[in-house]
Amino acid sequence: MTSYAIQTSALVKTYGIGSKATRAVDGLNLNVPEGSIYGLLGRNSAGKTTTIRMAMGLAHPTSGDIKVFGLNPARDPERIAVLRQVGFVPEDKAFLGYTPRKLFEFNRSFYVATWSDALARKLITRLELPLDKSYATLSLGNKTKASLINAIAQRSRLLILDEPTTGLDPVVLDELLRILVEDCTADGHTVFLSSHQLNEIEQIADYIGIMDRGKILLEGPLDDIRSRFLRATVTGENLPTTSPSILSTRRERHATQYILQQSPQAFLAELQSQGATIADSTPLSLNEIFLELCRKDERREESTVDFGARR
Amino acid sequence: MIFNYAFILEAFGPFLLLMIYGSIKLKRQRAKINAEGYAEPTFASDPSPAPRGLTALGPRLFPRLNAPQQAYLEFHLKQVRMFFLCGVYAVTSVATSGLFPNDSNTFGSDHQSPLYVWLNFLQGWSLDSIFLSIVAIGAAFVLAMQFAQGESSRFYRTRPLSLSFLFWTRTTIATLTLCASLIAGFVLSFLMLIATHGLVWRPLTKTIGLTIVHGVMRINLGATPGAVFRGLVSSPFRLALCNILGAIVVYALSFTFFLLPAVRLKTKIAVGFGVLIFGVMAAQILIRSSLYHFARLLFLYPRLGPPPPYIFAVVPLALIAAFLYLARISFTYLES
Repeated sequence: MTSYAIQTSALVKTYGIGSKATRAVDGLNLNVPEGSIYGLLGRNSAGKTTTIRMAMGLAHPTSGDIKVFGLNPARDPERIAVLRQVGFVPEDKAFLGYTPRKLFEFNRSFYVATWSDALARKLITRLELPLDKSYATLSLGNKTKASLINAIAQRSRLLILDEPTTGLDPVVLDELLRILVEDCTADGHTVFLSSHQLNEIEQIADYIGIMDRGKILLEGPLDDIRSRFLRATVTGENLPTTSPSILSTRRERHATQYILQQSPQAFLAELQSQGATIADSTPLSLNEIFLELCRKDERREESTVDFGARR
Repeated sequence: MIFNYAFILEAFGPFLLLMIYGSIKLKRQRAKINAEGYAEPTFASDPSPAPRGLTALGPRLFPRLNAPQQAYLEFHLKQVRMFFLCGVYAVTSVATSGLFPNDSNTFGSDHQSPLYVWLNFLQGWSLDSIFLSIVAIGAAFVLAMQFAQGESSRFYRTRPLSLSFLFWTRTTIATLTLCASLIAGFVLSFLMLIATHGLVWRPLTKTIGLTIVHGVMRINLGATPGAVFRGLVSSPFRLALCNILGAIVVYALSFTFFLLPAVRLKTKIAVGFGVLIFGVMAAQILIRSSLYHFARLLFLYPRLGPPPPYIFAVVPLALIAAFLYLARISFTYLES
């Protein structure tokens, strides 16, 4: 039986009241398996940071449930048990105005049992972080590095990283991705990271969740997700334009290009049986899957608004 | 004018020097780091220094606290040292303001007479409650900003510490620091009085009278001494106690009363702070003019005169407890 590091069920978070109320998270069902690297993807204002804040006990759900290792992060004493097992990098990477050295020395006193000086030292060297620069003179990239090292050296069971690549150059970014794979998941620890940098996530994640407008559009192992989507160029007469398998259709001069989801091979086989010719079929990159899903969600949202306006 | 310049110099001079010192220190540190270049990560081999002085109080007083709690307590004890020193200095400055030569002579023309010195000192010592309230509100807002605002709040709320511990540790340390700086300031100013003028309350003659009319003290030089005045000149320690208790009540009431709105105001904190300061000033004017008896009911001691009965202390104590309770509830539901 799979155990989950983070699990949400019909999670809702609303800000504001009355007509000004905004649903930042809208009935979210998320399952982050233990020991995985889980990438939560989404556009701006998709609800990623709000979800993370609820997982850290910084925000309270309006309704629904969120559990971290089966514990409620919003209520003491379960909250303390959660925080003992979680390393956290916030979106803005700000940390108390300390030098990195002082930050690490201070933070390790909160995690005496798990903190590793050796790991911290190794990460400092690999990410080339200046230890004694004052907070005010640290670049965004160095603040990101310091926040990451601070969280990783805790050797927590779960690492929650909100946009962990902000301000990092390609060399450091590559190093960070290696560290996340080599050092952070080695002992069966879980990494949960949110980002809209799809290429980086694609390199390291085992599981993906794609969020938009507070809802999860798609979730599962990355390989499964990739196998579920296909781009196919088809020629033939009377080609269908609607089907549960069709995500989008584009009519070209002599052919139709389909973006297919849910058993694309079966759909193509059916087309072939009806006399159509499959000119080309290629798997989609994560970036393309993400764009297609978000566009579909946007179209659905627009049609709902239009429908409402006509009423 | 001598009074103004001397007082301004006394009140702000050291802070200015402190700022200059801090700025030079920071520049030197930066220059040193730039000269050394990249530092090797040797921090791991240097264990955190053992807590000393005030910061060692936490582990000694509360040995049962776990490591994160000890770390949090030590950090706060370290942080309040400077606030404590600034508080002591501010209170001493205000409390000894009566010892400065003053253009407006309230208590007679003889600047050197013990009576003049003693009453002027008492007047300065009966600390302006606007001053106290503003300091306390400032402290409440600083505390609330740490509770509710930005990285500091988020950092501590994501460490393995209970919300109760976070709230009560900060609130208790802030309240105790305020009160301790007040008491220390009082004691220091009293010692300064003795050092500069001697035991001025002792040789006062019985030829001076004083009456209280609608709570306002009237001194009649050369008249028969009144009972209250005898108290003023012959029971300095009771007077001191009442003064200190009254000031503590102002501190604690203002602090706890404004803690709740400060926690809830969040981003509008600066605007709220300004509005509340004006509110307090307006309330002070009301208390001075028509709500003097109401102030006594709250165990406040807004002007020189007979101290309120000790039983009245129950009222502000109950209010302080209620304000703290509300702030605590608010803190639980706070989202940072």
